[in-house]
Amino acid sequence: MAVVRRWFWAALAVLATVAASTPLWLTLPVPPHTLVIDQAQFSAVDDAPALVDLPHVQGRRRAQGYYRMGFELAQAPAQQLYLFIPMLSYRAIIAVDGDVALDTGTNSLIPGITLGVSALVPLSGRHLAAGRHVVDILLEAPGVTRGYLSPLYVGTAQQIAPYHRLRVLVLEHTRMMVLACQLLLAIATLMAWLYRPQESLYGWLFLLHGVSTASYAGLLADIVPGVFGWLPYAFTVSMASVFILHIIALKINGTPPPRWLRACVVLVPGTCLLAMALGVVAPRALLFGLVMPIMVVSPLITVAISAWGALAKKVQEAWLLLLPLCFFSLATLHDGALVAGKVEGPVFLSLYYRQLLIVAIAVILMRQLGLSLMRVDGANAHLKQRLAEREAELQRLHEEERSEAARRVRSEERHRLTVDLHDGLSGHLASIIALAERERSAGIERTAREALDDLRLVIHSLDIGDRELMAALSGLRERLEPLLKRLGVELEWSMLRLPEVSGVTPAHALNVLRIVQEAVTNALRHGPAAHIAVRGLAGPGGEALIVIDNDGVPYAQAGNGGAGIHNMRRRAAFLGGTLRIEPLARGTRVTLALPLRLSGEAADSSHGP
Amino acid sequence: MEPDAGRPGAGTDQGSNTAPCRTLLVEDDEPLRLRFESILSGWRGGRLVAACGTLDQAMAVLQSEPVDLLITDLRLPDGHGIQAIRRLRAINPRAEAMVVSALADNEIVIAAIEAGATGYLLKDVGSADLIEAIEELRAGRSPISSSIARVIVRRLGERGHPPPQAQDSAPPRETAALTPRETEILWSIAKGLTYAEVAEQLGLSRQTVPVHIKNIYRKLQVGNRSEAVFEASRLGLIWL
Repeated sequence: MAVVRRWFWAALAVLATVAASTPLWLTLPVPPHTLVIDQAQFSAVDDAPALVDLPHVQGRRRAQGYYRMGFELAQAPAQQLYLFIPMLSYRAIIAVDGDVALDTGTNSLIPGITLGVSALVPLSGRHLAAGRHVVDILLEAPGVTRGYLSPLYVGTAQQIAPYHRLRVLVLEHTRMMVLACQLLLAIATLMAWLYRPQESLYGWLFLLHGVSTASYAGLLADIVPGVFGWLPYAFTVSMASVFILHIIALKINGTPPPRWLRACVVLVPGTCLLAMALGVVAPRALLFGLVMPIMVVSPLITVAISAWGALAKKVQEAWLLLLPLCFFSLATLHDGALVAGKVEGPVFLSLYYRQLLIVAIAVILMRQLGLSLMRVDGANAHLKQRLAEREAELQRLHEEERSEAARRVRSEERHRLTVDLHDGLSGHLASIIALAERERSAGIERTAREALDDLRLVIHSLDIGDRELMAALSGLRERLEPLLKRLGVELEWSMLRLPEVSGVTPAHALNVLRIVQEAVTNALRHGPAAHIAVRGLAGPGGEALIVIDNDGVPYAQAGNGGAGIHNMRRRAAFLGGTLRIEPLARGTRVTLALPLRLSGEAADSSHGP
Repeated sequence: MEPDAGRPGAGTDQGSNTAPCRTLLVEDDEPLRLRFESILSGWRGGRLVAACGTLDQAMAVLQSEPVDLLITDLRLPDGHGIQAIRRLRAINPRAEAMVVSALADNEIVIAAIEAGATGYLLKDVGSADLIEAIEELRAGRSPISSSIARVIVRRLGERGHPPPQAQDSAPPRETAALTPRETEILWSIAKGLTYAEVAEQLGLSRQTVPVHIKNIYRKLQVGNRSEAVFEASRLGLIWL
């Protein structure tokens, strides 16, 4: 899975690189099979006319030049023809046969982003007559680059229109999209920063988008006619963006930007603006001498910062920034060369790569957002789990406390009852026994002893907890021992092999004890026994067996056993067990079989006779 | 303890031949007092010093006459038998005390043990059993029921650490005085084993088990008087 992901990202990176590099190597297509005009008579303002090849780059900045060229139509065409100029910079007034057909300045976008536009001139009427036609172009060069004129093409709408539309898309609409994206991200980062002021990266990103918008100041020309003169100032303001880009790259690397760098954001453009405003240096000179070089060279430094982060510090996000930065710095170098006249061409590439940079920053922001949300989700899940655990713990403690409280109440009640019985009933019974003994009334003495024993049985069973059946039986043994000893009956007792029975309540214990006691009483009463054995065993099915053997008269199967045996069976049924009474060769065997887990239902049905 | 304490089958008459055991009986119920009186007067090994019906009488006798064995009821019209036990133990640390109880319920007996008693009797005890119990006690052996053992184990556990499950676990702080063997005996009896089974499991003689029990009782005796009173009042035995 990790390998697949790795390859996926690698492929994506290659694709992105190829796509991103297209402006560097791709040239926009020109219409084939059309009439091409690739020579012109060029004359600058104060120069003699000369024959030049198209495309032609003027020798000087900020100059006007006249071009005259011609084309021949062998016959009047059947369809409307168009004159198509794929690329010009930056403003042209085009006349055909002396009639002004188009002024690009009136229908094209405003200077600032219009370096390099295309123009389409419909030819009509006499311009389509057979014979030679003359095209005159007055080309105005912008302040920063030289004038540029590509070859001209004459063809039908079908031949030319698609190429023109493509150029309008690429040269005008795309540039506006860059601006729109930039404004959108400026708003988005501003909002992010307002809601999360502690994350200064958002603030820097907002500033980046904000100040670089200044380079679009030319767009305001329609509203503010004098804006053209302010362009050097606007570019100087937007110069702050290169320092901001350093800071952003450092922040993405996880390195706090140094104080001086942050100061540069304000100080360098501020000083330049002050120098321009005070007239110390001519704005244009400063623009070309300082602002432009800084803007061209700075992206290289940013590239170095990001490369350091990506390669040395292994910051993943630095990789996301590095690739667009490389292209952006290439583009600024290209633009710098363009301004310096080292490269021919009318289009500033950095306009396009700023878009790429914006996309990369958006990706980084979204990635951070995604990761933050994942972390929040993780933390949420963790907290929820912790909460559930704590709740379960609280619930458990609550249950424990409740059962403990219930146990305490029961224990207190039992204690109170025991004290009462001790002080009252049991004392009286003991007193009766003493009296009866003195009076030699054996019947009363025996009955009183039985009553006292029974009282002990009940009180003792109250103290029995879960898994204490063996202890309960032991209590019975301790009471039986002196009685049997007095009667001269031998008692053999062993509960060592009795399996542990769970779910034992006092009521269960009392039922078991009464069954065993009844079995012993029966052995004494009906089959005058000399030896009684009470043993705990594990049954064949794992059940707990309590076996009471005596050596008295063998049990008569025929009889129904009377009330005593009926009660024993009833108690055994309450316990969810069975009772078997069988004759032995010499004596009788009573077997009580109990499940290893007693159910709670028997608890309420216990206090029988 | 006595050097011959653990000797199995110590004769019942052997010890009493030399010096009769001076016995004090305290029981407020007249029929019972008379019954015990008649049983004890038939005992050749002992001499009944007095049979009292109140704590005051008993205290007076303890003050004036030497007593080797005190047999006392706990609830008395003018006080509590535990007070007599403590007085006796203070006057003569070698004297023994037994409590008489109608039910021999755990908490009452344990309170008496903590006061210094080492034996207990049921009020309806047969005459032969009574004499045997006294002789056993004189010979250094004490009885214990599984329910009393269970309460002792539970309370030892509550005071400090969980009760030791096996002999290898260290005894808790409060039971430091109890040897591992004693702890084991307590545990086995609490589980419901007979003396014989305990003896077999631990490789002892059956007669040695009650000797250990008596030692345990001695160790459970609370030294401090106020502590004992607190214990007793906590158990609802003394109404202060």
